[in-house]
This record gives sequence, structure tokens and C-alpha cells, in this order.
Amino acid sequence: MPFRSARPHPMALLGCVLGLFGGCEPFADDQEFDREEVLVYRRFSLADPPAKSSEELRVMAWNIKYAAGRLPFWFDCWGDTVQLTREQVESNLDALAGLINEMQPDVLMVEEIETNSRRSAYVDMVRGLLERTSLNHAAYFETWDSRYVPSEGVGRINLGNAIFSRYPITFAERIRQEDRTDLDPLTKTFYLHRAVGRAEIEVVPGKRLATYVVHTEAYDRDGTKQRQIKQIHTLLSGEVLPFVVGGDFNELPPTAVKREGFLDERTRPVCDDDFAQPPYTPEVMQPFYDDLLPWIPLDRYGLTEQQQRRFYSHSVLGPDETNEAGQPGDWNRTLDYLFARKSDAWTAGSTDVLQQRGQRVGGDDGIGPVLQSDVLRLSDHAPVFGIWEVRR
Amino acid sequence: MRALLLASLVVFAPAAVMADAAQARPSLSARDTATLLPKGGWSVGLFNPLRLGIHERVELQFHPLVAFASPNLLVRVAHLRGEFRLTGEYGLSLPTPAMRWSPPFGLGGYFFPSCKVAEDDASKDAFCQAPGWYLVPRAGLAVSTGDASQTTFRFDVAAGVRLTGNAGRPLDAQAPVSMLFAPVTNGLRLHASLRHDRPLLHWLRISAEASAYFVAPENDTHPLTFSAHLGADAAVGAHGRFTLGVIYWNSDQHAVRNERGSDGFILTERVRSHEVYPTIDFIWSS
Repeated sequence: MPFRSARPHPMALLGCVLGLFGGCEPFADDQEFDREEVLVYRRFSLADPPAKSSEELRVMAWNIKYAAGRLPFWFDCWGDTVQLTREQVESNLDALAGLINEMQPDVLMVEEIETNSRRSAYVDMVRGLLERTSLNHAAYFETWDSRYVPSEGVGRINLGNAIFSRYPITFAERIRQEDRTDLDPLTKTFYLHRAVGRAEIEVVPGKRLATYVVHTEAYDRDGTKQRQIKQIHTLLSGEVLPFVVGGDFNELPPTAVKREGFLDERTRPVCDDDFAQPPYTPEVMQPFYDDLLPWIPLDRYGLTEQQQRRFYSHSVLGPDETNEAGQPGDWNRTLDYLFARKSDAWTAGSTDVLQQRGQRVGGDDGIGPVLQSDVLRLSDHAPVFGIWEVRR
Repeated sequence: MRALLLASLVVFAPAAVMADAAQARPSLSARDTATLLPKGGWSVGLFNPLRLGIHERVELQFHPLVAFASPNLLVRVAHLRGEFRLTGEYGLSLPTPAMRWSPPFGLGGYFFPSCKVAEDDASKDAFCQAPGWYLVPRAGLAVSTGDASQTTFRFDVAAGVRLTGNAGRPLDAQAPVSMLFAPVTNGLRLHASLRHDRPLLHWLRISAEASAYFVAPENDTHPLTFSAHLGADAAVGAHGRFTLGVIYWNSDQHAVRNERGSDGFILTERVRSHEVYPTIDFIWSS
């Protein structure tokens, strides 16, 4: 990345002197906006996307845990990791790109991706994934921009969500979501500000599609997550273009059987409870299943825990660690989703949660491929995938 | 600007009144020079170190406020006296408790990891990234010239000597904090400064100081950090002084600026960071 010694604007310097305290870079970005356009990345050399006469798109959504793989970070309370080395980040990005290249998505929604964070060695992961895959464009939707988070040495952080596309992104914006109200003022200053990312892409010339990426709150105890999920539903209800939404909703499907006592939860108080999992409220997801087209409908999701396990997408613990009872980590709940407009379709045999190596995508009768990547060790979330057929 | 003027008035007006009442005392002397305290002399500030003149050529310094969490000692030895004063400064500190203990004694859990899981389960020790036990030796030279107005050049080196445990990692925090812990987090810190201190009135002095720091870089961080300080000292009674100033820091803290490039797409550039802080202290002396 080019480096320059920027001369500060004279008024900025004067403002700092008059302020008599602190620095010219604010401690944290309050992100005071409702909707704000964001800049788009372009791959340094474009890879030719397949020409399409119809709007059938391979869509994938994945929370990549800032390329930390299965390293146990301190807030999950199974380890004390605070910072990755550059070598670790680059190696993990290679592995993440490996699975992405297996699946060849036309649109990829990514959550928990970082561009300039101390804990991930300041690697720009948006650029990193663009250059490692055949995706040509990306829009990054920042949700956390703090100069220094004074918690366990987290330090500088710039985290957000992103939408990658093989086709041109003609417009991208982030839409502010409600902040938590259950934080003390100091914590709130340095905490993240959730936002929905929206990008318009043009696959067939002259015809735009809207793609959304979401990542709602995980740790609140004041109903913030539920209000954020409702806001997403309201946003989609007002969308005029054909759309698909993907991401980590941090919520269970409405018919989820297992709702508590997950194998990766602590029974003993080892860490503070700031990052303890609050109770789930799956009913808040019902409107999505009523009004939109889920990639895994509820009848396929099943009514028993054994049936539903096949579509679990999250586990704090990886397969190489054990919980307090000695059980190794494994996917233990569904938090990640894809929904399209109700009038559209998902190609039969294409939709799935990509859980493990050797799995045939879409099920035993699915269209494939058979996964080669060791998905369980790439992130604490499994990707969700489907081929979206736009019906105009 | 009004705030600055008002602050100066509030601070220095009482000092001027008290200074008038202390016309018998010698003029306020320069501070932070190569000149040692006389034998038996002492001075201490809220933030300035405790200085003890134990010999006509030897002075001890340490920071009492942090001595419990970060034991520290600096020995100043006058090698040359006269028109040019050359003083060696040799120090040692043990900063690890300050990095491991929670506030108010240290910064553990805030600027440094607290490793709660490893405390509970020793098998998880491999994931703890708290810095190990370090000694920080420091050596430097200060050269001063002048009498009522003094100019001082200072150069020192501090290195982190790891005794046990993990290597430190650069904090990349605000510049003053990063430079303070750099011998541990970066392994090495070199410092050079030039200071000029002159009297304005019998009871009032002003000073200007420019500093440069070099630390071992990591994660393509630029190794140079700069600071510039303007300050004023005002006598308070026969044995006290009030100091007020402002310090500006310029450093590479991985700040970036994103702009729309000529091709319409994002262009990211690294930029240096700028910080401004007030400095304030009250110093008592013999």
C-alpha cells in the first residue's frame, strides 16, 4: 500500500490545539448517518465473468471470523488470543479463498471481514479475497472503526461486512441499524455500529439486482437484535429491485428444536459475562419465512434435532478443542441464512449449508460439487449457498 | 484561542502574585538539563520524577507514583561540569507488573491481555499473548550549555531484555503510550531531543523541545515518531513551580485514508497520525 506523510489541514491542527486534549483522529467513529454511499473495490486485473443470458446467480454468504480460522479468541472464552500475525492471516485467507474458488459464487456476502485492524495484522481482507478469487468487485460496509479499543489490547479496529461480485457493482450503500442501549457510555463509545450493506449489481446489461448483507447484534440484552431483524425485514419489503439477502442473523430458525445449552457454552464463570450468549428468540425470524423465499425451507429443515443438525452453521468451538465435558466442537446451531424475493426461485438441488469436507452440495441428490476444503476449520461459521433464479 | 488565553490567565495570575511575594528567592532555574541537583537537594512533581542529589556528581531519579507497579531507577552522573555540562544517565526498570496488573496499578486487561482462560486452564497457556518478564536498561547522555538560558541535547537508548515468557508486541496505541512501552513491545527505543529553556521574568520561564524516537518496526510501521513541546514554568512561593504546556505528536499508527481514485474505485493511502495533549505538573523542590 503506498505510504505518504500527509500534511494536516491547518484548521484541523488549530482545532486540536484549541481542543487542548486528545488527538486529531477521533477515538471512534460514531457513524452518524442513516444511509451512506460507500466506495467500491475493483480487482487489480479483472477476471472475465461468464456471460449470462438469464439471471441465474451462484450466491454464497459466509461469516469468516476476520480470517482467524479456529484460533480461540479471548471473547469466546476458550482461549486468550488477541492478535494474529500477518503470516497467519495470509494463510487463512488462502484457505478461505480455496473454498470460495471451489464454489465459484457470482455474489458473495461476507461478514466479519477487516481492512485495517491490529488483531489481523492490518491486512486488507477485502483486497485479499478479491485478488485470490475470480470475484471482480467488492463493496465494504464498515460497522466498527475505532482508533484504539482498550480491551485486552484489541487496539485499532476496522471491521465490517462486504459484498463481492463477479459483475459490476453500480451502486453500494450502508444502512445504519440501531445501536445497543444496554452499554455504559464508555463501552458504547468504542463499540461497533451494525449496518446493513446493499449493493446493486448488473449481470445482464440494463438490468439491476439488489444484494444485501447483514450481521445483527449477538450479545445484547435489551432487544436490539430483534429490532435490527425487524428493520431488515422492513427494508426488504420496500425494495423495488429483485433482491437476495444473506448473512449472519445471530438467530435460530423459528422451528429450531435446540434453543439453549449448546455444547460450546461455558458452565463455569471463567470470563466476564459481557460476551455470554443471551436467550434466542426464533419467532422473530418467522416473517422472513412467510414473506420471502428461504434457501432451506422449514419443511426441509426438519422437525427433529437430528434432521436440523444437517443445517447447523455455527460453532464457537472447533473440532480440535473440547468443551468442559470433553466433547469436541462441532456445528451446533443455525444462525446464517439466504433469502430471495418470494417470486424468484432457488435451483433445485443447489441450496445447502457447507459443513464439512466430502459433503455433496445440495444433499445426496444435489448438483454438487463435493467439497474438498476442511470447512470446519476455516471459521466459526459455515457458508450458506444456493443458485438464485431471478424471475422478472 | 479564547480557552487557551483564559486557561493561561487562571493558571499564571496567582503564580504571578505569589512570585511577587517571593522576590527574595533566586530566579527560577532551567529544568530538564544536564545540571544535577546539589548534594542534599531534592525535587518531585506529580508527574515529574523524584530527584535526589546524593553526591555533587551523582543524582538519583525515580517515579514514585508508578514505582510499585513498575520499579524504576535512573542514576545521573556528571562527567563534565563547567560551560558545557555532560551528564550520563543510566537507568533500569521492571515494567511487567504494570502490564499485567489491572487498574489502578497497571494496564492489564486494557492495553495488555489478561489471559483469563489460561489462568483457569494451564493447557491453554499457548494462546496467552501477555508479554513476559522484562528488564529495561537505559543509557544516555545529556549535554547542556548556557546559564540563565540553557540549551540541552539529550540522547538515550532503552532496550527490552526478556527474562521469561512471551515477546512483547507493538501496542500501536496513542504515541505517548506506545513510546513508553516500546522497549518491551518493539525491543528497542532510541530517543534524541533538543530543548531550549529561557527566563522571561524573574518568576516565569518558557521552553521549547523537539524529540525524535526510533523503534524497531513491525507490520510495516514507520519506525520514526516525532514530538514537539512548548511549555511555561511559573514560580509558586519559594520552593514550588507550576508547569503548563502543550505537546504535539506525529507518528505512524496505521491510519489510512480511503478516497475515490481516478478510475472511480477505492484508493487507500496510509497517513501519519497527529495528536495534541496538554502537559501540566506541580513541582516541589528543596
